[in-house]
Amino acid sequence: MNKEKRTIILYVAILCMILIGCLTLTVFVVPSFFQESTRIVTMIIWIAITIIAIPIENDHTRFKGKSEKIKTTLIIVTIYYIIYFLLGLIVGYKRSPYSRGFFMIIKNLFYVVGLIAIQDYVRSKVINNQRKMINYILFTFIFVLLRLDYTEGFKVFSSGEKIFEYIASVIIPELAKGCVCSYLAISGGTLLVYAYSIPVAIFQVLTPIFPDLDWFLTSIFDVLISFIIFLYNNYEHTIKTTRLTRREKKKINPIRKIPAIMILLITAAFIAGFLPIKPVAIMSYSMVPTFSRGAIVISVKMNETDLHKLKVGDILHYKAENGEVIHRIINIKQDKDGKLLFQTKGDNNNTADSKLVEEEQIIGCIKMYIPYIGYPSVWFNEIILQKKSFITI
Amino acid sequence: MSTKKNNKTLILVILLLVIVGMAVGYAALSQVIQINGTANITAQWKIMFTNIEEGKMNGAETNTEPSYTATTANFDVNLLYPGASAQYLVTVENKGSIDAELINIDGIEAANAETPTDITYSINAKENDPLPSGSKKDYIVTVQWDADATEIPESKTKTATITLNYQQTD
Repeated sequence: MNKEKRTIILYVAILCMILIGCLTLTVFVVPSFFQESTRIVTMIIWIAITIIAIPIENDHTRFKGKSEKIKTTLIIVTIYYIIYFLLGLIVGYKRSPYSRGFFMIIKNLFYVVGLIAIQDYVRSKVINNQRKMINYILFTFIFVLLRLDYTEGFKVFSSGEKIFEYIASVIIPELAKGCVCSYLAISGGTLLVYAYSIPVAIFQVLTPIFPDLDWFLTSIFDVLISFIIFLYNNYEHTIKTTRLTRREKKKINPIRKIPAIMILLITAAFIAGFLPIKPVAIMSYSMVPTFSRGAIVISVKMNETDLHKLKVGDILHYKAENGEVIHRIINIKQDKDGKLLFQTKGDNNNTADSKLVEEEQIIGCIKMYIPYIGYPSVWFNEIILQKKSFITI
Repeated sequence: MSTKKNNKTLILVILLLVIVGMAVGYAALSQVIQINGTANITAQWKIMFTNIEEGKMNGAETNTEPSYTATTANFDVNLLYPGASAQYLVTVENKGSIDAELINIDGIEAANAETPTDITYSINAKENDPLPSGSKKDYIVTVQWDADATEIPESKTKTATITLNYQQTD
């Protein structure tokens, strides 16, 4: 190993130590001692790191077509936010926690946007210092750690369900964002990373309302935008740096991947139950022989008119105290106010269910059954989420 | 190539104009848009319930143990006669790094207007109550059956969804 290489390794090691030290300070130490001053102290620490990062030399050889990449990224981010915001018309809106006062907006822009700008400047500097895969992975990992949410502490490991939610709603989206930001840093430098991260941060501070999406959809959208930005930038980079025929260019054009992305989105929406039909995995034996354990049934959502069309013998999908249940209707009654009450029973059970099912509990009516394919969901629910009744996949 | 570059600039300008149009639309419709609660868009914003426990009980029995998640607190109580009341102590904590204040309390008036009107809810929280970063606050939620009620309501069940809306302190 020559002297120059050793110096570089030493330099990267020192930077890693500084960033890990910063992670420990800003995420674990500062919030406990400084509370409302956390943002100020964190900012000061990051400004110090930026000063250290300024002299780092960068390799700019991969920055070809930078302005085109910036425009493409800005277009994708803008389209993403238009779609994201319009989704609120379907799912409703929630108010932003940030103050609407003029000086508070300026203050938030400084702390939120400023911090992201500083962090991404440092990211770009350290990643472009040495174009090695290990360098890319190491610093991407450190920056993902820096942006994770640790406020829940060890509570996120209290149950399989919580671990899964934390991985799916926090770790995976942050990993996707971290990977794409590092990729942008390599292929276009700081300005290209800013084209993605700064509009996102400005949007967060300025927008007074946000779509009321649940964590699952928010995660899907976060991962999706990272993926699309990567695809388009990779395409721009390839056509700028490689001589390709018109046919080859067409072949690698990300537009060709739109149908696959749409299918992926529809599948995710179907599994998550955002469509009028929803797949449900059977975890118990209570409906044997009609449904075996491990089967998938299709539950069709119902409105008030549909409820009155239900008859004895139909199979109901409803919310109970300990989860969701799928049992057959054996009797239909009405209360004083004319509301329907359903008596249900599992086909394999000797007695009827002890509580009547009210209209508000009903999720849907079962229309289709596919045996065996729900076993992965059953195992996932039993082993990871430790649920004993059935739950949707 | 230059046409392609111009196209991209044009697309970008059009998209930005669409965003400006949406902002104008929001400004015009902000009074009629239904807004439910506060979005949790940053890890720096972490206001959550951290406890719920039974308080003073007067002619009341807890049906199921009170429980809470980060954003909801639940209790199920049975009031035995007119004049009976139950109190539950809920703790709200600001675990984020942004100072907050209570901007409004939703749901109490709507719940009290519903039948049976003899059963009412109240909470001792006030608008503009500060909740600085790292602090916690206890609130008492009271459910009461009017002592002057002469009739037993047809339905003794009354559910309420009370929302505490917080925002960053100015």
